Amino acid sequence: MSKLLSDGNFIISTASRPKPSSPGKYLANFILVFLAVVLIIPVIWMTIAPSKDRVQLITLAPLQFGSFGSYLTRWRNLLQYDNGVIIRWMENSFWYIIAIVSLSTTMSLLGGFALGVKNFRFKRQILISTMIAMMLPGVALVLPLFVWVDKLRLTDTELGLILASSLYPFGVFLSYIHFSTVIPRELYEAAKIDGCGYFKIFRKVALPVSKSLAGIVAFFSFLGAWNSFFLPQVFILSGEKHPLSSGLVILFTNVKAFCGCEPTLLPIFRSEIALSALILITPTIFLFIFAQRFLSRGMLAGSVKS
Amino acid sequence: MFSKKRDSSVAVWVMLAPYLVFLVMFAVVPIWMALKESVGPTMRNEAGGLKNYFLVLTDYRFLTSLKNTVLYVLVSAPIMTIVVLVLSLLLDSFRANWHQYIRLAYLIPGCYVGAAGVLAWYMALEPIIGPFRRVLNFFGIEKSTQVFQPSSLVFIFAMMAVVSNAGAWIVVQFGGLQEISEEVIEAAKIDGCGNFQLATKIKLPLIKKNVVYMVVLVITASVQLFAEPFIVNQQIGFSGNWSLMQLSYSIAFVEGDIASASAISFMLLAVSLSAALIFIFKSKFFEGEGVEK
Repeated sequence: MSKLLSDGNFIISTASRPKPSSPGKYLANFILVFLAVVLIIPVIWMTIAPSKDRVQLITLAPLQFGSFGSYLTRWRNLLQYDNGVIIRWMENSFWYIIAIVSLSTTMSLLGGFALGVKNFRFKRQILISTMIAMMLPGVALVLPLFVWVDKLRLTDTELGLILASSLYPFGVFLSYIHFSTVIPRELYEAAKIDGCGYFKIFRKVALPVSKSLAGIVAFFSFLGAWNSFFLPQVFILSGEKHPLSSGLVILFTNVKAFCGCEPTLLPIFRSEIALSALILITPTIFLFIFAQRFLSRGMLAGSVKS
Repeated sequence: MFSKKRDSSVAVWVMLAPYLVFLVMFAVVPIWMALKESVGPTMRNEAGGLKNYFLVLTDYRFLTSLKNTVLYVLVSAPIMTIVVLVLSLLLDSFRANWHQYIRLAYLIPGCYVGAAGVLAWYMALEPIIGPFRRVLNFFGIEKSTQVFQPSSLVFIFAMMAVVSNAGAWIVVQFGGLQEISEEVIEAAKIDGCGNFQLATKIKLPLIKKNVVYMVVLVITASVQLFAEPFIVNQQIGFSGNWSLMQLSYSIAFVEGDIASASAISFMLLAVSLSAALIFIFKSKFFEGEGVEK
């Protein structure tokens, strides 16, 4: 239909969308800005909450800044929990994430490339399975995974957690779309005529032009692994093996910072919780800003193309 | 389709092998295991079998959790869909360069996910310390207990979900809207379409597939609600076994009854699985994705 229309000379195509009437435009912009402000205020508030102690949190105005020194005090208070096990959790997270992201990204790129460049038997079945796996929420698989990993005697091991977290069907699907649509087939054909095998084509032709894809897959895989706390909570039994996300849940549970009953003597209250939330989201925010220009493209490719 | 060259076929399978091994090991086999486990013997029912399912369904806690979970899906999925579609359509209809910052602002709260997100949004709602305390006080809400009570939990959990996920979905839907060709929009305008008609009669039908995809994913995720009630319960109580997933968790790890927990888990999984399957086959997900035959 669009082709037909563009052939007609009577339509003067302009580059932008229709210019709507002003009142509608002002109302729309007002709604958009208002909601953005409502969403951003809590984020700002959470960022400056650790600058205040638990009394200042109530007495100072919501967006009033306390002091920079307070961040340090909050951090020292968090360190008082279980001999600073929080540092250990951060180290664990670091190594888990490196392992999970490299495993899942490698699998996604290789698998997506294989599916993207060639038609072969069972390809359709593999793609359907990938889509089903992609649409299943991670939470749904936690208990079944636990049952299985327990049979393999891998519960409470780093290996079990890493392996179970590394399956990333979305990455495979994203790579499949990329390698089958973004890279022109002629490029593969030319390389094949030059006598390249598939591994060589992958390394020499496909990978060099797919850096942003690798970035997107790694970014999303990072997000999933970094934020997951249910799986490690179930898989890991010993306190010092936890990643930061599930470790903090245990810390908060043991400290009961919210109930006001103060069952422990540790100075861990709302400001400390705000600081740990800030620590948890800092890497994400940095990667977010860093990866922003790839993001919209990546998420779009992951969605259905109409 | 058979390949002509054997060796290239081998290469493809070698490349696919790591992923396929993981897919089988950490998705197919666990689901099969859960199914097998769910009909195994339990303390209550040594014979096992389908009776496990019957016992779980008649468990005194099951109905409450089911009601909460269904209510949560019914509240959160429509809110999410409407918010995302309205904002994406507004962003598309009234384009401006500075809107990229608006889209970023919608995305940022999404960084607060997982445990940190639940706690952060929880604190933000508190009428004593939260950023909106003046607004809450204005409406006579001055104590935490006025905000966090059993009847309001479903809305609080839905709000948390919408706030942290809407931004990413807006990017997806807005992206879909941008792919609609200018000619179509121009033609509709010449035919006398106003902005509203343009949005409902032209744009929405054109991004229908994306919208259905989003709705399916939102529903499958909502059915499995766990993090929000779990963490809120740990902090202030009264949301224990709130959702079905939570009930499954406590049956498994508090009561040590893996079989009954697997039965619940498997039923939830079946809901998500069927939603995914129906979507994939009904919407002809493959067409346009280069998957033929």
